[in-house]
Amino acid sequence: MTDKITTPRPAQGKRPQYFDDPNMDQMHAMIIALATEVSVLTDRFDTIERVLDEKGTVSRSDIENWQPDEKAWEERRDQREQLIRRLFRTVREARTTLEGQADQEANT
Amino acid sequence: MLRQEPHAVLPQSSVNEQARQDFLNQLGKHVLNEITPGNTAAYQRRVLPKIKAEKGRDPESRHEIRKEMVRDPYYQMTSSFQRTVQEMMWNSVDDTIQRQLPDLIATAKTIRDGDTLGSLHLEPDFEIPSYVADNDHHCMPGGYSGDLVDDDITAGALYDKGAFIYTQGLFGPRMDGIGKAAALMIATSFPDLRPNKILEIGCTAGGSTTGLKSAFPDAELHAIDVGPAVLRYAHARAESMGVAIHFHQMNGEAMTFEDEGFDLVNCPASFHEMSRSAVYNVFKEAHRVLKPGGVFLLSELPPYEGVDPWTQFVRDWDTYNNNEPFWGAVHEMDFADVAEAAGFNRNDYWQGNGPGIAEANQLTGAVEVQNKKFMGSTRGGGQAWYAHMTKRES
Repeated sequence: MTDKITTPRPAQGKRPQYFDDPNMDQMHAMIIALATEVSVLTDRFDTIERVLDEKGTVSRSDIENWQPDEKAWEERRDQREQLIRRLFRTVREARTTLEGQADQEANT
Repeated sequence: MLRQEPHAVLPQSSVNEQARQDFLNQLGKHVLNEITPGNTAAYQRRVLPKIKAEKGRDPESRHEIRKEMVRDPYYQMTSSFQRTVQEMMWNSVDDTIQRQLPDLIATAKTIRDGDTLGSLHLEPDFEIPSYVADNDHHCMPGGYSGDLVDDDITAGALYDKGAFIYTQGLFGPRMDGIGKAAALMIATSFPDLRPNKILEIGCTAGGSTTGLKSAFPDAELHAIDVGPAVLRYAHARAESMGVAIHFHQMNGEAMTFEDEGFDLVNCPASFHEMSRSAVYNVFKEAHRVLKPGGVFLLSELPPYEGVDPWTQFVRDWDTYNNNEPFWGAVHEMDFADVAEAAGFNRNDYWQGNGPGIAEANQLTGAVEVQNKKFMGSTRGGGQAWYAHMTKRES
């Protein structure tokens, strides 16, 4: 048995190929990974700013030990939702178009 | 905000890890509620007309729908997002675990070696059944039986913390909603049942088990699973919560418990992880270890029987996209037939909807429950599906 586990670990089992070009599947996963890291950075900035507001100074341990209260957590959730909405702008448009067409057909 | 209640072996996220887990939780919810519902229009507008034109009739099975839906660009995109978020969610939790693994293992070991309320029984030469060993269910790296280092607890920690995110907290702060819901089901169907000895088959990290124990505090509770790391974790977790449970590494298909020893056997949402023959064998074993008059209760996602092909297709997403190869096949089984083959009388068999997991944790008012579920596993918002049967007095 090894001592150190390397992450991320893949899951055993068949991963479906969703798109005709397998590179597209990889691009999709990479975009979501990037968006996630943007959100991580945004939360970390938010922590730094809130600690600075409270104390006027900031250390690494301040950042690691700071916990959002309910209000701060909700503000972050709203900020994340905005990021997600910007990320999925064209997807939402595709859905609206599809549903508009389906409605139109149902009415004719 | 729903947060998981800390216990001695619950991995603690760093600031960045927590941010990653929060984002993936929210992204998953957004995809489920705002993006995947567009598939209904994609089906009606593009896929259904194509099937009708080709076959001259409506689709007769979910397989016919699937064959065309996998070519639809909207479905391709939403499924790719869902799959990716699922993988990244597990990976984000695994990072948290691996960073503190030696400490978590040491804590579990200290608990195990101290004065304990319950017990842990592992079998060094245990053979993991292939339906668990060869597939990492719901994309959880290492699956239920992963055992990475000496005294590993990773699989248990991954399930406990990951499933809390995956179910958007609806299993409850103590992850015990499935067990509490099962107890509500028992209280409804068998108000006079006072079990002295209870067995849970497929306990994983012991969340359901502790929920069941809280409803029957005086009962002796035994729980089995096949993975050593989930059991080490489940035991340490239960002990740190002050809950007495006896955990055994045992295959539900061939248990070493004596005949007719239990008043109640519970199998919480585990059958969809088993092969067809294993389902038959576990029913047989449940019948064997039950006392006459004892009850076998199981919960599952509802069967496909009588459901239209489109709804079946929607519910079957996990079979092809979430490493759940037995999901579809098990939901096509008639458990009444299985029960009869195991020795139960068909007249003592009941199936239907019962208390949901969120309801059991009084979370029905939580924002998370308002999810407009479209695809993938239940998120715990609605009712749960149960089957139960009583062993006849001889």
